[in-house]
Amino acid sequence: MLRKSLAFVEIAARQRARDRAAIVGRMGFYALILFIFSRLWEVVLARTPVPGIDADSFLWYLAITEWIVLSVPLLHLEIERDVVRGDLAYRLTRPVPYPLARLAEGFGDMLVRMSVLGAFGFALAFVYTGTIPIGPWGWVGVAALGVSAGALTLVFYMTIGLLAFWIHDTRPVYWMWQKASFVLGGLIVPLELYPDWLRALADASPFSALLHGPGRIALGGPPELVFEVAAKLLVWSAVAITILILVFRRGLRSVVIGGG
Amino acid sequence: MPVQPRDRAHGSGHVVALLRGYAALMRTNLRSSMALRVAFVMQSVFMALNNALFFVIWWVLFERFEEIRGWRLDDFAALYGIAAAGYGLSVIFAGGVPDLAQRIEDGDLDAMLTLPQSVLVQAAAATTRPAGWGDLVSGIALIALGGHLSAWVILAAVLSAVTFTASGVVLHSAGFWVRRMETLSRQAQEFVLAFSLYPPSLFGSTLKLFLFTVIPAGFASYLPAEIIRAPTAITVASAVVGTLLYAVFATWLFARGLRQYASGNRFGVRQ
Repeated sequence: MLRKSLAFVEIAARQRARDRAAIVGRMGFYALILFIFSRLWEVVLARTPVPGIDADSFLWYLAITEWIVLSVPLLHLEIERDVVRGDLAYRLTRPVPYPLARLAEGFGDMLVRMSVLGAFGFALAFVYTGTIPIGPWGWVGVAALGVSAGALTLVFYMTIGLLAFWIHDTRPVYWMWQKASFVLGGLIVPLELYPDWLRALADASPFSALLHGPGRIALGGPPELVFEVAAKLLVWSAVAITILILVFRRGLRSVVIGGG
Repeated sequence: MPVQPRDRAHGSGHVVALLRGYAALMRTNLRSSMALRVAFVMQSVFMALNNALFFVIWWVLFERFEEIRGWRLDDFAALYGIAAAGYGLSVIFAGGVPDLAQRIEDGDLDAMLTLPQSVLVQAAAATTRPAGWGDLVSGIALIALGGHLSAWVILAAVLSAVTFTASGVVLHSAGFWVRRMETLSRQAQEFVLAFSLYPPSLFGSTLKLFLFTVIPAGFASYLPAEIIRAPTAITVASAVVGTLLYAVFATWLFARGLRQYASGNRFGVRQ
C-alpha cells in the first residue's frame, strides 16, 4: 500500500512540476504579501516597538506561515468535483482507497509547491531583511513542521471536499475554514500580539499548531518548541483523520442508497 | 476563422438597446441564482462572515498599534468596506468577467458573436455570483462600523465596482493575444483586490503611480475610501474621471482583442 501511495505522490509531483502557471501566480502573490508587510512592520514597529521581536523576525514569521498556506493545493475542489460529477464511483474500484490516493496526490503536488515557494519566499525574505534569524536546526524544524502542517491541512481540505455529498458547493465552508485559520493560526499577526482571550481560543484550535507553531521558530522560540508543536500536530492529525474516515463512510453510504 | 466584431456603440438608440439587453440578462441571472435558495444564502452569509473574520486580524493589529501612518481602525474599515462592497457589486452585476479569459481560450464567445448585443456585455452578464451579496452587505456594515455611512457610499461603491470590473476586463483580455491566460488573469485580479485592501500610506510615490495605472487599486479603493472619509470636489472629480477613463480603456482593449479572436470549432446552443 505504501509503494502504491508513493507512486501517487510521484505522479502528482511530476504533473505539478510540468504545469507551472499556478505556482508562478502564487509566487507573485507571495512576493506581494512579503513586500506589503515588510513596509507595514517597519512602519508600525518604528512607532510602537514590541519587546524582544524586531521587524525582520516578523517578516520571517510571515514568510514561513505564508509558505505553508500558499503551498497546500486546494484539494477540496477536486474532491467536490469527484463527488458532484460522479467520478468517485469509478475511482472507488481502484486498488488504493480513494481518500489515501487523493491525499497522496495532494501531498505530491504540495511537495513541489513547497520546494519552489520555499526557495523563492525565503530568498525574498533574506533580500528584504538582510538577515536569517533561524539556525541550521531551526531550519530542520521549519521544514519538518511545515510539511507536517501542510499534510494535516490536506486532510482537513479533503474532509471539506467530502461535504459535497450533502451540500454540493463546498466553497463557503472552505472560506470560513481558511479565514478561521488565518485569524486563529496567526497567519499575519503572531499570536503573541493577540488579546489573552483570543490567544486562548487560538491555542485550543488546530490552527495555532498549523501556522503559528512553525512560524514561531523565526521569533526565537526555545528548541523544545519544535517537539511541542509536533506533538500538537500529531494529536490534531489523529482527530482530523478520524473525522475524515467518519465523513467518508457516511458519505459513501449515501452514494449506495442513491445508486451512485 | 477571424470574425468581425460588433462591439461598439452607435448612437443613443444603441445604448438604450444595450442597457435593455443587459437588464434582461441580469433579471434572468438574479432569478436563477435566487432559485437555488440554500446555495444563495450559504454563499452570501458565509462570504459576509468570511470578511468579518478577516477584519478581526486588522482589529488585532490596530488594537495593538493604534495607527498605521495616520490610518486608524475606522479608516481601515472604510477602505476594507468600500473594497468589499465594490467587489461585491462587480461580481453580482458583471459576474462573467472572471471567466472571460477561459471563454476566450475555449472559443465560448462564438455564440455571443451571433447575437445582436455587445459581446462584452453578454460575457460580463453571463453569470452572477451570490457571494457578492455577502461582500456588499459586509462591506456596508464595515463602513457603518467605522462611522462613515453616508450618501457618498453609493457613488464610492459604484466607482469601485466599475474599476474592479474594468480591471478584470483588461487582465482577461490578455487571453486574446496570449494562450492559456485564465489562471494568470485570475491571479492578477487577486493582485488588484489584495493591493486594494492595504492602506496606501504604506507605499512610496513610485508604487502609488503603479497603483493608479497598471494595478488600479487607487481607483478601486483608495479614492472611493477618500470619498467616504472626507469628500472634496477634487477627490470626487479625480475618482470619477479616473474610473471612466479606465473603463473606456478596458472597453477599447476588449474590442481590439475581439478582432484577434479566432472562432472555436465547437457547436453549442446558448440558452
